[in-house]
Amino acid sequence: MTILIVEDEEILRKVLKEKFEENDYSVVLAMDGEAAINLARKYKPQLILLDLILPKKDGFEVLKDLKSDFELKHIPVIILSNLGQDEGIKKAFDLGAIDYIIKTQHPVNEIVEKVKHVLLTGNGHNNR
Amino acid sequence: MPPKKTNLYSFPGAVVDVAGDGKIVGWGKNAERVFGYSTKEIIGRQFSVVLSENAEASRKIISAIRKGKRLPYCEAFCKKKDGLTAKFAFAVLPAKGNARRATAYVVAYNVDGKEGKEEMEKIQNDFISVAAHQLRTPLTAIKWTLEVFMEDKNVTPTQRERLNDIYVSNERLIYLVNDLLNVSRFQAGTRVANKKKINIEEIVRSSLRLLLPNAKRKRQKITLKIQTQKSIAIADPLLLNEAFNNVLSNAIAYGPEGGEIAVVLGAKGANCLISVHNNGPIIPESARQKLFTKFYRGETERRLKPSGTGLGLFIAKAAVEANGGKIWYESRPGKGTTFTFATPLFIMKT
Repeated sequence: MTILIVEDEEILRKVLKEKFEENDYSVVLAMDGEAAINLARKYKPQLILLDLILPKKDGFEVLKDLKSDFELKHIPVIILSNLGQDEGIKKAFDLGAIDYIIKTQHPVNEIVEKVKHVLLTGNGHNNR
Repeated sequence: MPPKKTNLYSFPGAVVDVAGDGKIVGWGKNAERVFGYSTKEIIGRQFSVVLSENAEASRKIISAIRKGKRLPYCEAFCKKKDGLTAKFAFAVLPAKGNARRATAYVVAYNVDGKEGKEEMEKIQNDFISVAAHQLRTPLTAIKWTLEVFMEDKNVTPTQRERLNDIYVSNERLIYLVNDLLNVSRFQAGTRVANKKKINIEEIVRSSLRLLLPNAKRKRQKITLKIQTQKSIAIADPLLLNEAFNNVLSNAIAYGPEGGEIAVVLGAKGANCLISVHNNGPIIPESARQKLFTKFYRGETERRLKPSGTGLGLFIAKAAVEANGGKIWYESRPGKGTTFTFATPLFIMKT
């Protein structure tokens, strides 16, 4: 199972990579929005964890691009951001995100659990 | 906020030069922006074009211009080019010997124009989201790194305890940031209630489950009494949850060790009533005025809940009111303290 993690903050990227690898996922990392699209095309991951504020192209645009790409639109996308404004959350769901996680509100293990759950059931739980 | 009377020039207001016969002879850049007329189309026209007719305030301004008299501060409604009316603050300053034959400068500042408000809201919103991201990112890095560290088998129990202390402190910072964000959202008006039909009992029960460990730590007993069959409300569940959580966690924090906390769900008229009672110390007279204001921390509050931010009840009140409800309390010697909030029930339209 391959997951693509799009995160511009190095420390967070490091912890996420370590945690997911520990749980037997292969991890592809992207540091900005453009790389995210390119890597998604190249690796066709089973799931994408997507930050919103990113260099080059923001997460909403990345999400829009993914969902309008015939080959990528079926890949479940979980937003992993520290923005928590109601409109932003709504916008992410409207654009087709399967879940929205505010980073500070969850231990890293819980994020791994959420990813497992989505991959197992195909459902996000709208649990903010 | 209207500008201070003595300080009009410090605001990015419009400056208009007007001649004694009321004709506009000078029209600044800001005037173009706030009134909508370009310099070309307005020069030579009467200043009264932008003022609402027949208003006492407009007459005062016109008269000051005609007489070349000083008018330090006056609020009046103006008609902008787009036809919209907005409230402006004016000052008329005599200008003798001006090269453009102006006898008065009129300084105008849009006090509550839609444009100004939207701009302010945007600035506030941008600030909120930037602050959230900037503060939360390092907090997340600390949180997750500590988690990984604490799982390390080579960490001794003493070290783990210290790491846990750091973790707990970091969580407190995270809560504080959450509270601050909530407060700014309520104040910016961006926290809008997404009302729908909800079961209040479910919300109360899930919040109880969440906070039960805190009560257990203080050997407190929480009882829940349902006194009504009507528990379908029309409210934003997240707001309701926020309000109830704050009130209940206060009851736990300020209630005595081994005490009892009684939660009652009732109904009165068109409202659902949720009350939380604890038999802790009563709220002192000195605290009552400020109880729902933000950042208020009384002596008792600091002693019983040193980690509090002083934002809980402010948020609870804002959340309840955004749902169209009300919050109040009773605190009497020997009776303990009860916080109650009312929130509109769902009423079937027949």
